[in-house]
Amino acid sequence: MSRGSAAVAAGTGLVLGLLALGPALAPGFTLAYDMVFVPHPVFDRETFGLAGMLPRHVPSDAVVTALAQVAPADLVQKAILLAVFVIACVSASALVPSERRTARLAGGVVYAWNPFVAERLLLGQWALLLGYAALPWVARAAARGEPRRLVLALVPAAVGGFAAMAVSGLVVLVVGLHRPRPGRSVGVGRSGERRLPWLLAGLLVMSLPWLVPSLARFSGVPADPAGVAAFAARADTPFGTLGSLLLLGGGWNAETVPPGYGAAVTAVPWLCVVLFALAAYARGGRAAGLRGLGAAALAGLVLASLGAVVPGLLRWAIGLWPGFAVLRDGQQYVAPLAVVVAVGIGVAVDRVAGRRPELAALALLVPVALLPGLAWGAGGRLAAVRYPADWSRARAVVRAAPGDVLVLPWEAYRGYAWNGGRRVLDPLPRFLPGRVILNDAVRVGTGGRRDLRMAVEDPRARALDPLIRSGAPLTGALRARGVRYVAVDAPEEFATWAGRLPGAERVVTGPDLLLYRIPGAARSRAAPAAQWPTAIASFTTFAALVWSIRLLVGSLLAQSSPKEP
Amino acid sequence: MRIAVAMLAGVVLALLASFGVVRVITTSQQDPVVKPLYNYGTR
Repeated sequence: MSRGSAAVAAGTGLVLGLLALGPALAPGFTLAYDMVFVPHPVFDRETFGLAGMLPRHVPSDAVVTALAQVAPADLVQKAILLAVFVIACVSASALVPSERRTARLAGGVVYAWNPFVAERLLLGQWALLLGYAALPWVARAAARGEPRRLVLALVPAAVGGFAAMAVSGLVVLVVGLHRPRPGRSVGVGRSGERRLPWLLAGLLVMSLPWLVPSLARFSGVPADPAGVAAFAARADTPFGTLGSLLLLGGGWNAETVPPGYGAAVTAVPWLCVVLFALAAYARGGRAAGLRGLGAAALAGLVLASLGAVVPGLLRWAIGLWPGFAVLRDGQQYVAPLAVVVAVGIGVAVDRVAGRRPELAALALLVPVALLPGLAWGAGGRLAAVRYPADWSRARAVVRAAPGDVLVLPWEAYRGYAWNGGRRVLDPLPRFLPGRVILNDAVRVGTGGRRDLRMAVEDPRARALDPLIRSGAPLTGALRARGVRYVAVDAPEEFATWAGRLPGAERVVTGPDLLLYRIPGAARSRAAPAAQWPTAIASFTTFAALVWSIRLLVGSLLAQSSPKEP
Repeated sequence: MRIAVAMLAGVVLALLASFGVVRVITTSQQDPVVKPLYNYGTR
């Protein structure tokens, strides 16, 4: 793809991002489910996954913290969210085997604007979306068997962390396993028999920042099989769970379905578009030189459906080895299918453009017309807000006299009034300095039946869990366990928790947050953590990135010739 | 013929977009607070 075409695709992605984010681009922070950004973040042990919790936000938090040292954190958030749309549009456009700009753009637009992007964005999973955005580059690098190019293409996924790398890993593995035709090379890279180990090595190196803390986690890697029922794919269209996955939706959370999506009047045309794209890919998609991508999409679809179709098998597998928990939220594995759909749309538009250029141009509007619910922050579901002044006062107090902080109510997610009631993972662990203890056991509603509760993962939260649930006074026990502060960030429960903290000194009082200091609290002893292995792992990844960056970034945009195998 | 096809496609897209916009506006006017407050989400 020429640089001009890449610039047009980038501009189109930027327009789509502006359209999708809307009010989220106003001054302030957009807080939604897993999307938590805070002003002036600082590096601490949690940033690198060394505090005992599972390193789900490694190294994404570290990258954000580093960027926030040179730019305001809210601008960093907006730049990252816009980058998802720009990268998605550019990378998918580059994969379409066509000389026509309209055809390439059609693939880019549908890849940047579809139910997968909408549902994951509303769920706040920007880190996963970073990996999703660059997946077409990853697929091409794996098909060509070039480890150095693969490392560069994996950078967005590596920033995203384990979920993004899991999806990218699926593509690398399946495409890398695909043997090229006898007597034909695999682009400019290594021969087919020898390329897979090198590709896997590249994948491994880029996973080290989160992989090493996971393996070195002193309390093991817990995985609650109850998560299978909570996070399995679900139907969000009239076509059932499998049909919804085929349409790139089917996420577990009913609250993150974009407004209007799933109604028959839009779902039926969208089904036709996807089936048309798959047919076009089957007939002409191979020209993209991506043998194995179809198999990766099929494998992803199978993985995505496991939790819904054979939940018992997945529970058994997780019981056998907790690492299989990466398959609980299976819908994320339909991402390779989105790549296939994008290439298929591009191929189809390329054929139409020769005879009906006006129809080809209209094809650019189809994804937005069929999924208008993503526009304007999904109708206001994404919007920027400012943190309350109470929070800043609490941070100043803790920074002046550091100590461990316990966050109450004893739940992981909140629906703050100052955030319009939108759910968000409690931001206090990132907002306050030092060790912040939060109940990280998530709770998922089932629409009438009992909520599904996951197990507590943080060892310190697990130790405090029985005490906090007991209803007994907390002050003495918290003092003995080295907890110096208690932050209560739900006004509706201020009175409840005040009654359980006799003798605690209230040092911040505000309408949105109370901060108590527990007199005489001992300094807690931090558990030993694998600092040196983690540092070496991060350095190794950085060194690999420098090694790969000798390739010009622009080379990623190079067109994959239709003649290439 | 081309103009007629383009007009037809444009009308279909406009109808779909109108439907979607109406749905978006209708949904966005609802109270975003979902009870209970502490859930990660609801299936």
